[in-house]
Amino acid sequence: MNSIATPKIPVTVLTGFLGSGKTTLLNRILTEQHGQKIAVIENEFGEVGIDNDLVIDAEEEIFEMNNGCICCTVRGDLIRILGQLMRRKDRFDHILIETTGLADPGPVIQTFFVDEEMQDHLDLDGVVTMVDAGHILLHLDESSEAQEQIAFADVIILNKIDLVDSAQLDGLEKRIRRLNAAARIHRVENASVPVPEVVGVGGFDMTRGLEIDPDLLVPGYPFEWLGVYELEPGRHSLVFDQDPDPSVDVLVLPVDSATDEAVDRRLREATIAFSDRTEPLGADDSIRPDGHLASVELVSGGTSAVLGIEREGAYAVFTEHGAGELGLQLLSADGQLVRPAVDRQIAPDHEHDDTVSSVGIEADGELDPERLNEWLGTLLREKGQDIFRSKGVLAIAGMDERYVFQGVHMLMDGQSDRPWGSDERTNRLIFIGRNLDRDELEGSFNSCLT
Amino acid sequence: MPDVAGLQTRIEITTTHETEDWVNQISWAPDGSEVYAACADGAVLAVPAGGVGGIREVHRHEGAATCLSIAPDGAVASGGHDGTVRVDGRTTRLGEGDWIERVTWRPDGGRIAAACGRSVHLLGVDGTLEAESSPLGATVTCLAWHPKGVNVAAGSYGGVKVLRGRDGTLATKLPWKGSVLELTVSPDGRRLAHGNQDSTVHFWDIAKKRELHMWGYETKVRELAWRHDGRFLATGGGSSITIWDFSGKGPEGSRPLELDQHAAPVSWLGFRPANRMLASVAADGMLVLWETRASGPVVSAVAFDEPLSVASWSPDGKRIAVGGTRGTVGICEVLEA
Repeated sequence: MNSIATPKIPVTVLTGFLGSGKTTLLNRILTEQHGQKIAVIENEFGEVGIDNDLVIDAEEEIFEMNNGCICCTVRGDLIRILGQLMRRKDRFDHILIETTGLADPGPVIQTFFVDEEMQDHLDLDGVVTMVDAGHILLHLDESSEAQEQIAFADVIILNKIDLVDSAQLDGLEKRIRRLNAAARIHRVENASVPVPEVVGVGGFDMTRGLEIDPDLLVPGYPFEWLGVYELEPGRHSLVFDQDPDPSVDVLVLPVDSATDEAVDRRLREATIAFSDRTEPLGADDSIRPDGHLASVELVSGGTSAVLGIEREGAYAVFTEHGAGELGLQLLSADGQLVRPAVDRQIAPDHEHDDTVSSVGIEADGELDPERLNEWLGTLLREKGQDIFRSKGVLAIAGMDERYVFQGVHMLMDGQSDRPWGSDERTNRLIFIGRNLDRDELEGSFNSCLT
Repeated sequence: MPDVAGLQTRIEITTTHETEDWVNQISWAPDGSEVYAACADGAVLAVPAGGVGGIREVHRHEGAATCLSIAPDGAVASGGHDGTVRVDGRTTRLGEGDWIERVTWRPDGGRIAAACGRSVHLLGVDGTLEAESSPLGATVTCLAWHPKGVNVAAGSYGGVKVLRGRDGTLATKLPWKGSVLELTVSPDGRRLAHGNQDSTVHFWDIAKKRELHMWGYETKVRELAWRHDGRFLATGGGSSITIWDFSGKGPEGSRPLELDQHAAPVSWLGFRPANRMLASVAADGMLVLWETRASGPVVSAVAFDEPLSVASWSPDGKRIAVGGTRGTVGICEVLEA
């Protein structure tokens, strides 16, 4: 048998609404990339013409395979066109696919996963989404396509930033971040992003590691309020004047001191504890600072729960709802009102109700391979329709190498990567999708830790 | 090395020629003097089969030359990414922006069917456009004439439409939910088989509209060939070759014959004219000649230095022309024991 290896041609998918500046960007790439031969497959006519000899107009043909399952929906025209283009291998250094403004990027990406010939000859480099800073908010509110285009992206180009002020821009970027915490965001005017940020992004290169916005790794806390109190030993009372729900989850943890810094160090522990199952607090039980989540039944007219403290010190109280909403006060054993030294409202952001979001998970420790397999398999099978993209770098018990994976809907690909060596073994993963339940994902992931 | 079943028929490479690019299709001149190759750089070349003389350019398309077909009188028809069909040097433009996916001469050489975009175009012997079908639901990916030349079958996403060869009107619909990549009509014209993107093969009894679906292929299926008597259909779709037996009650519920020798996906297969031997080429660079008995032994095999993309039997069944992904055209001879 002969050696057959031929270099793969990288392919970039460029998405974005009509008018976002895709064509301007394409023309910039084509004029700046001297010496590189780039073929462009475009679906959208109009706008500005593209100045390139190698432009192929493709009529979008969506093919459903296997009973219309969403992850088997592919672009038939691309299979046909790319199948021919890759034969002209001497002529192209790169292929760019421009999608129509309203296109769901899923079928374009899946095309590269379901066709073995394309896998052998082409390398999906990344999804680049152009966003018109002046119009995207409107699009995000009105169309699921705009949300999906952002959710699928490896690189988001926030274009036409001269049309909005910097406060608007910050808000816009924050909202985009919530949709997709793993993409790189570039702010540009007139599509003037450096070409290497668009071509050669390595978005589907599993060995490139995982960049997740650190703010989004532990963003949506499962509690809405925390307070830190200096407490003497004794049977104190948590008094709830209001009853917004039939019950409220409460967690009390000891902290080193009554400071923000000290409580910050316990946030992760508190988040994990909140994913535990709660036991209703019996009439004679007291809440203890032992890391167990307590569920306090709230009755109209006010509820009082005993907080049993054995040693003098600082204690953090985390509540499922805000202290104001609950009418919460802490009374000492002798009935004196104790004011918190730290009083922090962690209001969940209800400002925009995008159904698309990112859930980033970071956890030290090692994963049990069997539990991980079952968890990921079940998750993608049952929730795959709603998970647009997933990526992860995992530390698996008994494996010296990092395990890297990524997926598009239910299609997943994983492999071992370089050894951990002296680096701390830790797990980072991200899911970007629709109607994701952070608590459930985090809780079920944590159950895979050994 | 493959298992060679005793002292018997073998293949030898007689000549090789280098062309510029991936050979998309290859076919013999009726007199066996030369082979024609449609290449990804746009050239349609005549390559001498006897090792005498040089390569001659017959047509040049802008973009790739995707397909070609040779009439019984030797007329060369080709199609390409430029949306044109060329017939012996004459050019007919069928599409603006649409590629010509297939051209195929009617068996008697009296007409050409060409797939361009979503339509089938019917051209006269001089390349003049004479009729055009209504658009199919999606891009036409494959064409095959009925052996008697009355109808031509066109495959696309959504199934097969059998069109009248006279005017391109619809004769029969064979709907199938999926993407059809290649089709072939049995020598008696009764059966049709199509290979699909979803790694399956589908059979039709055209008149009775009876259908049969075959799963389990390794890759998408674009390699299909009937034996001359219509008893066997050889199918690719991966590195194994699967042969279905249509004698008796047909392949339903039967175990097909599987031929395993290639180390990479098969790219072409064809039965030897009026013979029971089968030839196949694959991305592993091998040309393999098979005996299609139950044991399926390899008769003989030769290796090329590049993945092979296409091949074609000479009309007399004594030679095979192969084409590779880096432009090699090879002529091989079958030496009888």
